[in-house]
Amino acid sequence: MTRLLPALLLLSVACTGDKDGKKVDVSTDGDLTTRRFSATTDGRGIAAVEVPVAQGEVAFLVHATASSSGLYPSLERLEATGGGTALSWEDWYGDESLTGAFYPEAADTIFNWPVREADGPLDSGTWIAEIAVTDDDGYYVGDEELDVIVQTRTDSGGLDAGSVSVRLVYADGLADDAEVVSGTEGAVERWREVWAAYGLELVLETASSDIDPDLSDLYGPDDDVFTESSASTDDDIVVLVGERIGGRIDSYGIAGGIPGSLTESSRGAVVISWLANAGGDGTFSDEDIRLYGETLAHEVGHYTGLFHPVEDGWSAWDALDDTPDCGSTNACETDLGENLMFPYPVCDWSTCPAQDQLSDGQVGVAQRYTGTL
Amino acid sequence: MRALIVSLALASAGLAFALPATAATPAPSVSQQAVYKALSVRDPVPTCAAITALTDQPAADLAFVAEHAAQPAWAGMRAAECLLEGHPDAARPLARRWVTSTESRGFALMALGMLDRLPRGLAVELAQVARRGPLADAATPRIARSPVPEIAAIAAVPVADLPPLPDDLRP
Repeated sequence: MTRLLPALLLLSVACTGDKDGKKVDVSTDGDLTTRRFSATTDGRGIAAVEVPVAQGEVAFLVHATASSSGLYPSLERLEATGGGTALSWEDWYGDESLTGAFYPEAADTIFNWPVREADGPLDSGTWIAEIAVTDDDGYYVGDEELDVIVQTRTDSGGLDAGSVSVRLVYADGLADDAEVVSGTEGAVERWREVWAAYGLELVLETASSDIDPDLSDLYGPDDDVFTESSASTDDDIVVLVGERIGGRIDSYGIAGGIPGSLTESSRGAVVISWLANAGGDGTFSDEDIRLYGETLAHEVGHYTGLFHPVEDGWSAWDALDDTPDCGSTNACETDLGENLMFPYPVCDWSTCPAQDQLSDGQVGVAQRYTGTL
Repeated sequence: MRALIVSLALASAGLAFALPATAATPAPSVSQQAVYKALSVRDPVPTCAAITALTDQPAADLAFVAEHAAQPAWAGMRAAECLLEGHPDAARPLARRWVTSTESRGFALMALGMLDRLPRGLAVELAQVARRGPLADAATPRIARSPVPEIAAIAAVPVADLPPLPDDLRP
């Protein structure tokens, strides 16, 4: 019996704890522990979300959703186990982007820590993520309830290699379209190849759905996205393949956050338009498939926490030291034109050179994402 | 030599493009190159208004990009959508060809998914010719999904009762 107990503990274990009188649902599945509870903002409009980190855990993901519409959660500050400030949005109000969690732009906020190798290893103990809730005018709102999901991750294999589980879902009718399926399967193989070079293993499951092939643009609540993200497991990234996004064909793909959530969310997916990626002839050439694969790798790269190394316009950059802070089209295309996360493929009307490079710092971000197990 | 000098000058201005192409693929103008470059961006998605501001002849330049930009695939698609949405009269000849040719199936599906945003006469015309043409099987369900009842109803009209394909669209 004692030999069986450790094995049983490795299986999904659900229990309910009480934290200061509040119910906490806890489940563990392999390397990932998921805690669900609620939190309420205080008179300052900030909720102190506790993140218990056990010895051996290397990253955590906080996902906080406002209960009321028209309110926007965001990360105000991260308090380390010793009580000091590990991170504050006020220190990042500039031209470098570290995490999308600082921006009150949606009904939920998603925050992964550590983001970079430079943020240091994760100390065990209790961290506190201060989540602010603001309204449309930017005012802090007190006494608002948040649905909170905190996930922590152990990593027996180290941070040099990891697996990302993806559930790729075809919207209504598309799983029966041979061109869409073959093009997407070819693109997935290119994505797998790009990531594998950096120790990122893609573990893919495909599914079909009856969701509208006109996918949400993830800017507002969407039942289809929420449903599909709820249907997936707590360690899956959901990729939805549809025909158009937000009623238009101009988006080829959108990531539902930098980083994105592993749990249920109205923007808990990467949405992809097969049609925008196939082009005017509606079929997938080898070149289309290669670029489609790099697109999948790019968008899911956002979902693991990667920003563009430089933004188009050349006046904003990511927060990594090993991606150059270039300042012109020529310099940026020269320095970063082969980078997977560059803001555009450097094409010449008929072909686009491969964009499949990542810096060590960028790989570090992807490997530290809580969903990279 | 002159072409090389022009290319080098444009390269220094950040607007380099490929050497002049063959007769089948005319060399893009400066404004066409700017439109193409803007439409090639991954994200954020450029608006049609922002694209239009890059050129003095938006309809012609958008048509050029739609017809000649093979990669990235989304550049041509975005150009086609902006053309059809913002310049429907100018786009009409192209759009009629798109929805009746298997070689432009992508443009056809794009157009058939935005019929509700087009002038009614053009939307009806495109729906009717699409149902008569080689893309009818793909066209019909998309026409049926239109939120405009008059357009959606075209999906249910027996093909024999639709206007015949105009001569210029017959294979």
